[in-house]
Amino acid sequence: MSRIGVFVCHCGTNIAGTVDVEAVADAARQMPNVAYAGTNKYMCSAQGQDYIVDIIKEHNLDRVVIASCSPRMHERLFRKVLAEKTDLNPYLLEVANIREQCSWVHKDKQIGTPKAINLVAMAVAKADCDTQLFTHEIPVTKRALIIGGGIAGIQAALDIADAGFPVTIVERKTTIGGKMPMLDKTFPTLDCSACISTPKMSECEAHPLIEIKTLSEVEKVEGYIGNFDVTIREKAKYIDYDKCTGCGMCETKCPQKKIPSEFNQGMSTRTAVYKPFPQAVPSKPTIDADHCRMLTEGKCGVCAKVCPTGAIDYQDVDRVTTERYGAIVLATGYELIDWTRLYGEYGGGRYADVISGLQFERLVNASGPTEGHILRPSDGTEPKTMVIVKCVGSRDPHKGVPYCSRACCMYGAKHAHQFMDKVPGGKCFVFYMDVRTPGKNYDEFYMNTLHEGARYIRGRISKITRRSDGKLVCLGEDTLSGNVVEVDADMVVLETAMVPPEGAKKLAQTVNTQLGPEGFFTEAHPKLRPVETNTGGLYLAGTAQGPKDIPDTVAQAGAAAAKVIGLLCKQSIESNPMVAHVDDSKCSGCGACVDICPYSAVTLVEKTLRENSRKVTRTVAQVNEGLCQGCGACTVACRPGASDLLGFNDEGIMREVEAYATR
Amino acid sequence: MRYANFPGCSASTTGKAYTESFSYVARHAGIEIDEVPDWNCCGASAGRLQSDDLGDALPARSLANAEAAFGDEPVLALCAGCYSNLRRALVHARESEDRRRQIEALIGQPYEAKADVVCGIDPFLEPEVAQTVKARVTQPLNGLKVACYYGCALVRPRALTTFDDEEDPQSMEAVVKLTGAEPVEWGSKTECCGASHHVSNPTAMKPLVERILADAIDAGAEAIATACPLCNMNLDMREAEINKARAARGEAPLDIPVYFFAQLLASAMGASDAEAGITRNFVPGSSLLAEAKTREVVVELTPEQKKAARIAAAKKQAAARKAAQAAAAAAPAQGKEEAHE
Amino acid sequence: MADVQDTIRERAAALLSSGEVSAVIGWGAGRFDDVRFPLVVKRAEDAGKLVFDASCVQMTAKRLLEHTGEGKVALVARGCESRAVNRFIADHQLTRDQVYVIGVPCPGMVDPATGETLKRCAECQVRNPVVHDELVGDPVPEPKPYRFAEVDRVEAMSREERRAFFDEMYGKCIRCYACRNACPCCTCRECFVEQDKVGWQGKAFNVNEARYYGMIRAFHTGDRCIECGECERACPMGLPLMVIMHQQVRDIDKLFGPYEGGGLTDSGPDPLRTYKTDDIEEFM
Repeated sequence: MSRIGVFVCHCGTNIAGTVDVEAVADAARQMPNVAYAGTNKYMCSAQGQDYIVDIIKEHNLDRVVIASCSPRMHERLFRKVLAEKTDLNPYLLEVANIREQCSWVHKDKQIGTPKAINLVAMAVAKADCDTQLFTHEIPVTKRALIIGGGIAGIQAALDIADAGFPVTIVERKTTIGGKMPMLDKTFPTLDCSACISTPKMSECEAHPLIEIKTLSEVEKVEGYIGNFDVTIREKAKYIDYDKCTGCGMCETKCPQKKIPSEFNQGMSTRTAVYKPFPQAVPSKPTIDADHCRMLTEGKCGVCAKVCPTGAIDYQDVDRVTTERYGAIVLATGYELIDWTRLYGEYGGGRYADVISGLQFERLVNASGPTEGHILRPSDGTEPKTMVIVKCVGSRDPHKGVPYCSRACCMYGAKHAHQFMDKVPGGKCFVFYMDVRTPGKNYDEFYMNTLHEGARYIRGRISKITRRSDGKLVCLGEDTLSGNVVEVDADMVVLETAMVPPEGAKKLAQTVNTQLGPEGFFTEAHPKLRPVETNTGGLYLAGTAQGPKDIPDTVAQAGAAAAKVIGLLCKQSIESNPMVAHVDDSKCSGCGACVDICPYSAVTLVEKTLRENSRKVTRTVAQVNEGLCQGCGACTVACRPGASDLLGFNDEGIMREVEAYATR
Repeated sequence: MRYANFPGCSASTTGKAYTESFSYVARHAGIEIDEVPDWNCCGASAGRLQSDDLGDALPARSLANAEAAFGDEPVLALCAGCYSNLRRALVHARESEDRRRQIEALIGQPYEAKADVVCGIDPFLEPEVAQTVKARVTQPLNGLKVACYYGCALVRPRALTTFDDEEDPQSMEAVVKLTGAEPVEWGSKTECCGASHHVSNPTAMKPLVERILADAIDAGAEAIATACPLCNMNLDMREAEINKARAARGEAPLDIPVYFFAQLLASAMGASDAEAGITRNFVPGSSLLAEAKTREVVVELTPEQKKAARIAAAKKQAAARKAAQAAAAAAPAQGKEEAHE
Repeated sequence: MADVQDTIRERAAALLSSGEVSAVIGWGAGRFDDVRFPLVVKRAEDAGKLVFDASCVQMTAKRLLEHTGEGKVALVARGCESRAVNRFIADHQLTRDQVYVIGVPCPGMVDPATGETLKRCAECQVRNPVVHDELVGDPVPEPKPYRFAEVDRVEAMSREERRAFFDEMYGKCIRCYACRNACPCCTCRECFVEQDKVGWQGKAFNVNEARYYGMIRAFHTGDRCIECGECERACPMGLPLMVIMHQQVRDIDKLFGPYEGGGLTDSGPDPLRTYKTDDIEEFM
């Protein structure tokens, strides 16, 4: 016979407004094993906590059921109260969620109250089956891995390294920096993007605690919080960085000169041995194996001939290393939606003068293909009329993505400003759905752009056609006046949606975490745990988690770094005791649990067991408690029920169902 | 390939030329056609405005008849309006089992929604059919610049139709290419022709047609191809009227014949103008096609051939350069010798 | 078949006398002419007791598990036994080096009660062993007969008819667990049905409890069933158990296919116990 105490929370009127909490407490008193039931206005408050502690002592309770909000919200807090202020094991606690799953979804006390009573009855039944659980210590490897070397990854790396922990940045491209160095100026202050991002890049390169692995990808992640074994493939660069001085001779002499430059968004060309831009980090070139004639056709070898230090190595191969890290930050950034595939009405990429916002950034940048002169890609003339289309792909569930990409309103205004600044007498039309400027000095910037003469038209462009005189005829509607609008533009800039980068899904599988429906990594809680994931030791920074602008990205990177530092500071961490457990006597070692485990936490091992007073050696399943996340998949797959989840054992769940079914 | 043909009201009226030319091409391209027994009005725009049920039931009845007679043989709807309405009923029935049952109850006969509904262009996208047509083109329309016009009902809404891209479709272009003609890229291929205002409000409709004609000419087209009786009629019939108005405004006429794509196919496959229904066109279309057939054929080289030609040219150039260098080397030497002497 | 029987005896004697295997599992003669029993031969001189003819109706593979730990054991295996060997390996009950498979292509066995082809042989999809160390006799053709006729019949029933069908079926069940004991997929150390779950499952002798047992057992073996039909053959009450197993094979093929039943290879995971991150999560 257990002695269960039931504590029903009013949560102000959050619960008490739709659930008669006194009636719930009255009903609880009649339930089996309940020794006490009472209510409190705010169970989570200091006063509420004291109430629980006092009653436990006074009534000599050995189990606690708290009927309140979601256990996601305060279960941890109540466990802490039990652990620190009472003699009860903190896992002898059940939370009945009568707020999110009851009072918030019902309007009527007639419905809310009986449902809350049912939920409490289930929790009471389960509490009776609860057993004491104990945590153990997991050591922490004091190193961090950052996946993605854009501004988010750079900021997180610098913050963590400055706190004294070694950091490795894994970057898929040939240089760190990401998209930020490609931008011309940043809103709302209009400071030069490269001037503020490239110093951070070189700071990373110079930092004694930061290791940069470019052209690298994470292939495999094993282990768990504090102890991730990460396999990284560093692709062949065909240049020995120990010998290379970065003199650039190879680049000047490479005969393959017609490769579209990724950095300049295809608006200029590069060589096969190349550095994407002068301030690239590492500041040494790489050979593009897809375009190098020596590597594709076996003839050329010019770069090897001209290299003064003999750094060229055509025989270079990929290097695969496995190292242990305590924490991982996902800073994989974004890509822009491929509008050419989706928007036939904007020419589907057939019109050279319909460009993306990122291409415009390169056009207007002094180190870009036109040295900062805004010139049409088709004929190199200066456009006099420019149309900016916002929300291309964004907020368009039919063709693009349903969400807002958050930065486009601001950089759209910036593009309009830059165009009018650089093209005297130029006309700029901005087609918009809404103008969203919720940031410090953002709306002021937008207003300024309006005052400079940018014509904002509320409505979308429905069609762009090219006339034989080269004009782009933009058809649209001004939804404020209801008139059809037609603009003969010289150039059109599409502010395209941010989408998750290619490979995000694969990476999510590799690191064992979830993606949301849009394909961005999911945070553990949208408000309270925005930089953590549901996998312990795995943190999010920047647009990997969802579209955001540079200030937000950098702030989130700093927050992720703070979380990492907090973890790495510890000598060891407490394990989660609510993990799967295998009853060796029932386990036949069939391996169903091994196949089904999403976290690779179960393995088959040979064990010597005593059975019928005989020693036998058998194969049985064993759970790695560090890896196990307590999802319970194995307990369902296990036919004889040898695998059970501590804290959620089969018995407890069956008793819960019984309690509900027999009421 | 066999198709169950849904003629609709336009087959023997406004779209007679389409029926004639399509039948000619089908006969020669191995496309077999059965007529849907006891078909009825597709509902056009009026049925659906009356009620959603009527909008689905009218086309579904014809589809059910087709299914009863020909099983899962695809139903061919030459008119874009019929195509759109038949597809709507099909898609609704396929989307939800409940809706399919409701439709069955409405029409009082079984309808399993097995058979697909296709438009006039679709049969020619089948590789074998395209192959046959290509082989049968005996009088190619060499390099005739054609603007393919789809209008609205064939391509939109995307949920109903099956085109590659509702804003920039390319299927009619692929079919027209079979004749040896050259489709042009242009921006108005899915713009509205104002069909619904054709009778009620011609002043609203005319600028729309005028714009399409002007755009086609601006893009360098000599002819417009359509795949819908209504589109064809709007463009073809109103051209003279529009040109009269333009003349009054002192503007140059928009002189461009409008064909069904099937007329182009038929003509290229050797049909007489009468057989291809070209004599029925408002804007005379005979002479342009006749002239195109006499044009010199420009052979398009494959990328490999182009590369080979480039290499040959480069080799020739290199040889010439070498010869020139040898000559130059020989010349000063000679000069020196001469000087010594 | 007499030649095959002679070769089996010769090979069994040779394997035992050379010490390569510690036992040979096959069939031996029973008290009547048409009755055979699984026989485990441990001495070379006993090899002559092995029989192979059209009366070998039992599936012997499960005997293997009784002799693990005794060194390598030879198994005279037809298509069904060979699939069971794969099944054991995939379920980690056996390693390949613990068994020596004497493969025998099987022409199908005769039901002593009716004199016709045994039902499980008439539905057999794999007559030739899928795994073997040596093959005795020439491979036989694989007619791959249609095995879903009974499933089709039950599927075509109305809800009420189907209910009646299963009620009648499980009304006869005597809970002897012969089906489970015969099944090569049932290798749990403690079957769920032996466990105490008051209020959830009982041992009472009624149609509801029997149906519960039958359905749960079907789900436990569903994606691994090698379609040997031994459960149905072993059932003393003649329950048409394979209709459920065949239904599951067909459903899994439709939902997760292509799938042709279990035991065709010796590697997992099986369709219903796989974790894939790109699995459709319609409920999320």
